[in-house]
Amino acid sequence: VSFDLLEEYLEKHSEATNCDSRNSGFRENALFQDYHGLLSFRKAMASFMEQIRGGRATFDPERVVITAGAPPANELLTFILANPGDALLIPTPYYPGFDRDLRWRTGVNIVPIHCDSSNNFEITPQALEAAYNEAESKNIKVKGVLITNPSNPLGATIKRAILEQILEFVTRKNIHLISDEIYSGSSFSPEEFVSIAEILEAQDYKNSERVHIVYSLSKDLGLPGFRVGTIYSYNDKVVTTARRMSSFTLISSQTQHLLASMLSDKEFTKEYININRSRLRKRYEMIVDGLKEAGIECLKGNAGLFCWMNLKPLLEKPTKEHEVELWKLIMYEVKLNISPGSSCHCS
Amino acid sequence: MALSRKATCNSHGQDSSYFLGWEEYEKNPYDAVLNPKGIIQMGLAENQLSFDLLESWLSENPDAAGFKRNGESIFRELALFQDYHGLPAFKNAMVNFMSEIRGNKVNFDPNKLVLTAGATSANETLMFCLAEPGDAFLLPTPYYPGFDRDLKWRTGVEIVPIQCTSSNGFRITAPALEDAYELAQKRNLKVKGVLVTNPSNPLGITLTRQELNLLVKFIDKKGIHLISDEIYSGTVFNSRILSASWKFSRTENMLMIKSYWNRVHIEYSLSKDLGLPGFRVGCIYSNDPVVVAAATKMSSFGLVSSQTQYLLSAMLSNKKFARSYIVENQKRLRTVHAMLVRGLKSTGISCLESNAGLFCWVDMRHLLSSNTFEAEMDLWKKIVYEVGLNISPGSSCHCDEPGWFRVCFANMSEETLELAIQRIKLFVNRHHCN
Repeated sequence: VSFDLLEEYLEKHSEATNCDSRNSGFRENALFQDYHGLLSFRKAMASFMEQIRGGRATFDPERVVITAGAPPANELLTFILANPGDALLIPTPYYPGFDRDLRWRTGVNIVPIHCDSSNNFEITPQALEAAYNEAESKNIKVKGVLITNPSNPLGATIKRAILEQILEFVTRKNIHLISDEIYSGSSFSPEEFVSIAEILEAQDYKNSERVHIVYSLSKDLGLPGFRVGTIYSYNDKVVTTARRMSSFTLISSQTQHLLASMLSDKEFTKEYININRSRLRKRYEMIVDGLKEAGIECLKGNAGLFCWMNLKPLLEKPTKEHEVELWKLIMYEVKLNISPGSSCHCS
Repeated sequence: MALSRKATCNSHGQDSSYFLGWEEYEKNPYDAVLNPKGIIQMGLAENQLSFDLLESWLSENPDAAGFKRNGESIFRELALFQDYHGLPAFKNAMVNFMSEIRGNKVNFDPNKLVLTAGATSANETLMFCLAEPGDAFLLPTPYYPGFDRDLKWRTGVEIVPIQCTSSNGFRITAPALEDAYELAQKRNLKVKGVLVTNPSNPLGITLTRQELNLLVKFIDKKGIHLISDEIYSGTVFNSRILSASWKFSRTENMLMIKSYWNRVHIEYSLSKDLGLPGFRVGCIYSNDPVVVAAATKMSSFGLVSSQTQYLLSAMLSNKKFARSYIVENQKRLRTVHAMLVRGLKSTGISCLESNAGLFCWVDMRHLLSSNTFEAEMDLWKKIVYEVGLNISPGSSCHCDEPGWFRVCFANMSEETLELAIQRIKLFVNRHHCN
């Protein structure tokens, strides 16, 4: 919804694309393959992440590791934190891509933390324990919990109290916490999004060496083609190892240069974040209101690029097969491609 | 709260002397003005000879870097383009460029090409596609130190060396192939294939027809794969080029019915030929549709930025530019290569006779205090700290004979290269006096 803002920026700043006639810096940039990533880019990313969180958390550019998008960031962390056969606990429903990104080449398992509509799909301590026990009963070693906040597909932020419970849980079990915050800039009202970074900062970074954040510009800036992802870890060993592993998935230096320029312009980014948020909110309200008129309810959402729509009343019977039948109807007769909850492992 | 085994082992290879030399250079880098006594970086196989050609093309074609096509902005289209099949215009441009490098004697099919974030990613991806943890690939020594990380770290695949020695110019022989295979068997490793770099890093030589024949016979007999890493194919400055791709395509019709056709895979990258390692552009070319399909999906973990795909598709689909670049680049490589070889010869140091690459494989065996790797390390340290040159010791490339070093020549000005040669002259004279 906000490409015009980016295009306007590029028109005014040709140096960001090495477009000026002197082409100064082209060769240095073309040669730059250091897996630390351009310092200017890391600084810009850290500052952008801070702005998104309203300055309620600070990010150190030295802890930013670059990856070609979010899928490799998630895969990399999985390679580093878990051995083949181990498991990560993930709340359902979750992004279908995780099945490939976290499991395919790593050999790591996903064990679901079941969430349901009885409490707006919020993660409960009981659900966390149940998932952990389920893994144990199968002799699978749990290495961490992975949450997406704001959530895909729910389109809702995780409440502070719940984040604190999750942090307490992983600390007690002595496991890791990965917080995939790629939709952080897409929360409609900034105050409602609480990042795990804020909670850690508030408690003076106690127990933070088990926490790792994944971020990407694919959703907030709408630039999935540029392959820009990062891992932000509070664990020194993880940062060092992730950096070495990022050799397999570095960001084009041409793209790093472009984004370093754009994101270090704090006035531009502040305006972008605000306008983008309000446009997303407007769209959200439009779809939710429209669906309401048709008698369709959505989960109360406050973030993301999607709403979690409740079509249970339309199901003949509450089964997966009937959900698939309804999905086919919507695809072929209504001619809308939407994602069925079963593809997101909704229970 | 331990990390995984992969995180805590040493398979990243970072402790090799190859990387330690870089660290020393970083601490004390040569600069003509600011640090004339600093260490000259001759351990980095970079091509800095032809940037002016790229820069002038960019000046004349501002649309390519400016997200424009025929003056119209295509920013959104590119920003959203994340299809792992890659930008069609870019894949077409890549196959044309690969073809041009091979004198247009070969045609490549863009549908068999998979784009990856650099050759590092391509190498690893092929391992994931062709081998299981615990399987092995045979590699002729000496080989690029980075393979230890790229092929083994996250994949769990092993490397078993095919010993090549100076007795025959480091050429691959039939007994060496068989010995390597047997060694793997003794170690209970299932051999999945052979990986060769052609032109070779660190040797700087192209494989001969005999070597290629040997390899093809071998993989056919054993029912295994052949990977040809051809990232230096554009750096052949003496046109004896023979590449796996050339040979196979020449007799394509006959060979396509051969059982091993689907087991031959090529890798390429723009990091060496165009000098663009920062842009992370690599690719896999395979005749096996199953490999192409799997590698394409895996490329999700390392796609090429659409911004970069677009820029390079514009540049490389200009056939006139591509052709003139290749020719001029090769000419410049020939010049600096000759400079280094001549300069070393005048100090009594010879190089393996080479026709490609961004480096020379230098014979310093006569400068060793003893025919041991300890002596090689001593000599290397002297060269780094006293002479002020970061060169790569053969042991870091798994060479079996002490005393060989890889010396890069394409990542500096001619003045700096001249200075490096002077420093070696002084060192050798001192050495002789002692």
